[in-house]
Amino acid sequence: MNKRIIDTIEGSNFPKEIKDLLKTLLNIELRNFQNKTFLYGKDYDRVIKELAESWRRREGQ
Amino acid sequence: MDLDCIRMKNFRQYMDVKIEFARDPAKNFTIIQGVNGAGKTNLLNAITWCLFGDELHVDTKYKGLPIVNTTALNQSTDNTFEVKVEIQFIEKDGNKIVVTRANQYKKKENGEVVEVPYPHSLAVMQQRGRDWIGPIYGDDAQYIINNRIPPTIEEYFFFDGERMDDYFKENTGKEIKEAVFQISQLELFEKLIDHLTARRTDFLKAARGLSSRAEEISELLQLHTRSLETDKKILEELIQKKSEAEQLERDYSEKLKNSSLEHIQQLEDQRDALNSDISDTERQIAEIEDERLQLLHKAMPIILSYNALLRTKSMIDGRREAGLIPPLFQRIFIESLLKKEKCICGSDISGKDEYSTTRRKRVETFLESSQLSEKSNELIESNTLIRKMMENVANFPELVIEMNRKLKGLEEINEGKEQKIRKIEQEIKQSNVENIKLWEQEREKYSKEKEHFVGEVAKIQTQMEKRRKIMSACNSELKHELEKETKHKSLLEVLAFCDEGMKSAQQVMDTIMINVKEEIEKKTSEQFLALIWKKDTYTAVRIDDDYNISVPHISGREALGTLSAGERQVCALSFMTALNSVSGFEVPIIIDTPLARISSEPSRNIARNLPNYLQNKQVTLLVTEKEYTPEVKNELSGRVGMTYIINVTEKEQGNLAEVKLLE
Repeated sequence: MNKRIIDTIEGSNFPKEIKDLLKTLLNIELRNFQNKTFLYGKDYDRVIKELAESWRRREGQ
Repeated sequence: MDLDCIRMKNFRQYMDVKIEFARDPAKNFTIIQGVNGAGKTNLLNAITWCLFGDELHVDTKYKGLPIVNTTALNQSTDNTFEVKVEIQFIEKDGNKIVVTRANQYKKKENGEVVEVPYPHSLAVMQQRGRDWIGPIYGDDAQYIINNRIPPTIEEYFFFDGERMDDYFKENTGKEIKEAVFQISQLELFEKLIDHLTARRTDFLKAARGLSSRAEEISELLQLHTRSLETDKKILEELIQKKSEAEQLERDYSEKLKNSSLEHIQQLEDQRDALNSDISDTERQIAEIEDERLQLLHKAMPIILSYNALLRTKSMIDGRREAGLIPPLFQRIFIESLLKKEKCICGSDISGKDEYSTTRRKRVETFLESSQLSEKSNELIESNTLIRKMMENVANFPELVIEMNRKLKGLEEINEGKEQKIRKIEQEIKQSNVENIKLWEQEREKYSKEKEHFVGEVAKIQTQMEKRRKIMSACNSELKHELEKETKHKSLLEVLAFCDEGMKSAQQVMDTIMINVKEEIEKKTSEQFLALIWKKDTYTAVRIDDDYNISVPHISGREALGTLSAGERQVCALSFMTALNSVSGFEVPIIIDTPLARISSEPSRNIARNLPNYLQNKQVTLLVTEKEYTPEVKNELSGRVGMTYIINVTEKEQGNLAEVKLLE
């Protein structure tokens, strides 16, 4: 993954879960691009739901 | 990641050549010099073929020709041989990666050279300290390579200088923007935002489908709960009133029983006995009615499907009579014969010769026609079940008739007794004693009142039962809706998270786009102005929002269209190296004929400045003698670690290239 992208995400003031979301989804996109695959729905749903849950718990504290 | 060495075996003009690359950070330029046609571009192609399985810079004269070395092919004794390119990289941590691609070829009798399928064409070995991992083959190997050098952006690391002056002619602002997006991987971000938006839309659709009715049901439930409380109070009052009426009826009945008139006492006793009998008979009637209802519940489904059951039974019986059920052979038995390849008669059914094939086919046909065997047991069991069901309802009409007869008899008995009671009532009412008449009237009044309240109690009890059923259904629905509400709430949170993610992704993308564009513009401009030999002629290289490149002349007019071929090449070279430096990928740079279209003095200027703009980058320049002039050589000498020369020998079977280390 391009270091500039990772540095920009890490250097932002986004919540941890949003940073993790962007990095994980980018890796899914990179993997799909390299493997020439197009299916992303299940992977996206899993990552979004997991991180949304921990985001909600942390925001709720 | 540095390029350590490459070994080419039987690849085009390279029969067996190994080249090591300069890796000393202070002197990491490698020069490979050769005349036109010596094989400089094919060296670049050997690298892309090894890494990506394709020659990405192939000259039109080689297109369609196999990559085999013709001399090696002709020397081969069995007309088959291997083409192999092996590249060794060294990562920043000192670990090595060895990528090997090998293909097998065969020369046919007509002279045509064809590729022989080779299962492990691509292999990667990875060093981890003192251990080596691998060989890793196929897609996994390609994944390792692509992670380090994405194939879509290889042209910004391995490029042909001779074609660079056409770069801005061939590429529009849109294409240049795509190049920037590719190299900075912003296209992945675009996809991410698109896909996140699509997922959000789906979550939204799901959330709409889950919009809860819990509140509405909850209100309905509360309403019924309140009504039930009211019903309970009414019921209590009615029961109380019924009891009071009953008590008063009993009181007047007692008064009649205790009257001084013996005749009245007897009548009252008779009425008591008749009422008691009527109650007993009513209990019997209720019991028989209940029994009849149970019989109806049990028999009705069978009675309603009687015709269908009869037909099914008849069909099964028919199959049975025809000898189809049970089958003569079990399917499993025929399958075992086929597996053992031996028929029950001992014949060979292996299918290995003509006769056994014919026999095997017959057995297979038999197997196909015996599909019924799997169902036969089920059918036999079903038939027994149907028979029992039909037997169970066979005496249904008689039973019902008998019950109805009993009920009619009991009802007639009660009717007779009620008539007797009515007569007793009349007789008492006709008494000459005023008190007796009055008590009977009062008893009758309270009896009617009691009957009325019995009816009212039954009514309210039915109403309450109905309400309880509704409430039970409401409770189940409420539970379901509350589950939906929890899901709905959780989906709304997921939606909010998606929104936050999309907003942040767009923000990161915008930031990177602006930064990357500004950095590319700044670096391209700086490099161009440093490399260009016409000082004080151009002010900058500008990249607008649509990635259109412009080179403003000092006079203010746009000059990109009027740049000479050499100037355009310098501009493209500056742009390429700028793209390269913002890419974030640690990939060595290989430039084929970087100074081909540039005259001697400007070449010297480029040679002097280029190393400054490719700081910390390992660079390989594939040059002609014309390009690598003593002046250029002198300017680059501080950075050059290794210099090679490609010598070509023209042979009858084809050219052969040797690469010799000069320094």
